[in-house]
Amino acid sequence: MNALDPILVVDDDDVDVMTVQMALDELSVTNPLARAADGEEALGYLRNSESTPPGLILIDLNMPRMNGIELLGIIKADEVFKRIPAVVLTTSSADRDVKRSFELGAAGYMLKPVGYEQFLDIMRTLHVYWIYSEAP
Amino acid sequence: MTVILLTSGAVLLLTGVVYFAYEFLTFRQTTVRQLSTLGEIISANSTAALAFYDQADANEILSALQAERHFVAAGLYDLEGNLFSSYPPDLPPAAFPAAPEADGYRFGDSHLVGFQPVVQGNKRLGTLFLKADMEAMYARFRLYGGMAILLIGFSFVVAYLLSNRLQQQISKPILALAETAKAVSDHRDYSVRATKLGEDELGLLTDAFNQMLMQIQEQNQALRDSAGRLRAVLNSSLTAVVVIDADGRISDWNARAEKMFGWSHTEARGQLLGEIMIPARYRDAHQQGIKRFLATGEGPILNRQLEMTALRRDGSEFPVELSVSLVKTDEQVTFCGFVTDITERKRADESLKQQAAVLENMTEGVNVADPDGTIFFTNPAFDRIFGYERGELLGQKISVLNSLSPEENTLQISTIMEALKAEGIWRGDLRNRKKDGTCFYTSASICAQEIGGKLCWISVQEDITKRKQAESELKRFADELQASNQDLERFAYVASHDLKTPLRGISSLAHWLRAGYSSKLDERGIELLNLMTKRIFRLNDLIEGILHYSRVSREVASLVEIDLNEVVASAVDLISPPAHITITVPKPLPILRGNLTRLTQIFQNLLSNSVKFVDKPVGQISVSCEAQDDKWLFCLSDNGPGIDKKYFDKIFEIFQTLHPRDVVEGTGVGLTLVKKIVEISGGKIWVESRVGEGTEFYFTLPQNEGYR
Repeated sequence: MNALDPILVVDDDDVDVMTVQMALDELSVTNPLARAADGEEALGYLRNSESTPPGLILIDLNMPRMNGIELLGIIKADEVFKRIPAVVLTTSSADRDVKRSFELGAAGYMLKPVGYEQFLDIMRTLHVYWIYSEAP
Repeated sequence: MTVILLTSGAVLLLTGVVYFAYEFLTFRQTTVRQLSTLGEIISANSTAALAFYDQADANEILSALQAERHFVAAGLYDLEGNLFSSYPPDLPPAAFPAAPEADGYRFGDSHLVGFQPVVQGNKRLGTLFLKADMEAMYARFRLYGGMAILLIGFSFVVAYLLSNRLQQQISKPILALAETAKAVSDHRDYSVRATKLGEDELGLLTDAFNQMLMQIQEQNQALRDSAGRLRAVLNSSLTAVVVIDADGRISDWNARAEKMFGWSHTEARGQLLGEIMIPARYRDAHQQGIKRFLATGEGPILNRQLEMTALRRDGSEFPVELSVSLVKTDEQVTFCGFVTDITERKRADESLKQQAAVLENMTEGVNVADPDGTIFFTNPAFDRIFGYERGELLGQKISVLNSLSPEENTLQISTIMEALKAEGIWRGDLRNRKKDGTCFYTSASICAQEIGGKLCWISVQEDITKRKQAESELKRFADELQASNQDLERFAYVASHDLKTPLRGISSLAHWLRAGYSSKLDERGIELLNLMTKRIFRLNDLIEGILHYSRVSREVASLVEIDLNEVVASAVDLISPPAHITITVPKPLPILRGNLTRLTQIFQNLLSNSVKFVDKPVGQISVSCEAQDDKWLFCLSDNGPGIDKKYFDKIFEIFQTLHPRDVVEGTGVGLTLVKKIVEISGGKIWVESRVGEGTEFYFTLPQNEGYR
């Protein structure tokens, strides 16, 4: 991932998005953050020719209108979008969700911890991993 | 020949004697008559000489006698009895009787003597004495005897010659015949032939005799052939043939009987049938039967097929079918028994009976149909299932049984045919029609089987209407349950997400408040923020607890071999109890089949529970297990504070804790979770405790079955 590629956060909860933003700021991540409140919005962003294609997509599962699993299915079926690494960042620890996500081609599955410190750890790990990973 | 000679000799002798006696008598009479005639003549001639005493004349008359040389003496006596004249003249007077004797002629010793009165008119003058020798008669007899001897001799010779000749002609062939007959009867050799010696009647007889022998020989040969064929037939017969006489003794016995009963023909002959072939308990009846038949002529067992038990030489018994026929020749009574070993048939009958009983009594219906689908067999269950009277379906087409549309029927038939081709059997459910038109379901298997050269359809069907109903009911319950489970799952899922998201938001906000606004908050404010954060975490744990709990029954477990020693060790490792608490496992724990996650949850929760509450300077926790009947009994004991008996039930209720949450962190889910796991695994859990001393948690798990 290029340091200037945006990170697309698909989450309906503002505080969660804020937490991601705060964590990225605290970790001095330069990548800009793009936000979509649900799956449909995310698709809208991705299909908009004016938006910069993201280097990483963080997807919450439980969202109104179009949930994360549905979104993942659509992205991974798309010839272009499927190359973008999509990591599930969710509260659900249900086996079914984990299995389904990986079946659809998720690049990772992270549980949102309740404490901010642990959240920070997760964001750091994610960023470090993808900043060192080559982009397609 | 001797006989012939003797016979002819005797006949000749007898004839000779009779003839001789006759001659003797007639000759004597003739002699007496001749003498008396002569005497009368002489006496008549002598009257004058006597009357006149003329001796010369008298001598002359007497001398006339010399012509007859048989006269040895003659004399004339006068009335006084004095010899007056004598002949021959030179014979002394002493040779004459002194005086004449009584008149008449008589035979004296070897002479014939006669006294003839000499009479003139009425006047007796004297007596004439005559004496003749018997020489004539003797001569005659000699002649006769010689003739007789000659005749007999001649007869003998002739007889001998004749008999010799006859013997050549008659006796020899007859003797030869007799000898041949003797040889035939002695050696029973009918191949011998008598030699023919002539063309006469005897030759014809010999021919006839030989002809007869030839016929007897042919008949014998035919009889022997026939008997041989009969024996060969008997011996090759699969039926044992036993012939007995009126006493019950075996007189004949074929090869099959030898094999069947174990006695050879020679061994069996003469034995009592009752003793070697009939088990002891039936022997009396057998004897009685023969006796009754001989007495009354009634034989109820004759000429009938009977089943009975027979005895082998080795003492074993076996079932036979027997028919007895009576063979009566002249005065002799013979019974002929035909015995078939029916062990196999009995066994087959028995197994057929059993099979029939199975068919009769099984709850599944069975029908068998022709290649063209005509039913020719149904068992009672089949009729019952389809609502028909017993046997009512026979002759009907199998198509009356199903309630499919023609299209469905065609499809089903082709499906069944394909299955039959591929696997030889079709199994599945059929939609059928009862006699009253009711539609119902059966679980069926159909196969094709050759019966009596025809490929028949056999179907076995079980009424599954009730099962279908039960199944649909069950399915409905399952659906409902699944729906409610899905609701619950949905609920738990949403709860986890929707409850946790704001919680995390609060947590983040509190963090930022503390981080960004610490200069504006006093100590009290910071403390309040900390308290808030603690409760955030507690609420998070509660939510997690609910999720765990709701997940226990939903997860489909895979059963694996689990070493509980490892489970406990890893739980201890995870809990990492403080140094003053020791967890011991005195005896090795068993290895069992189960769900690793759940077993781990049990031990982890119970152990952490104990660890959490230990209040002694040295905490001691031990885990043990023992086999009890068909289950494992686990015990987890500690020397903690103990639990008041009144809380024994409460501690297993969800969200119930016995301590203020701020003193001991606890969600009140752990023991509830353990209880649920133990119970859905088929076990029980309970607690024993003394306040201040310690607590024992007991739980059981089934030994044999793995649990989910």
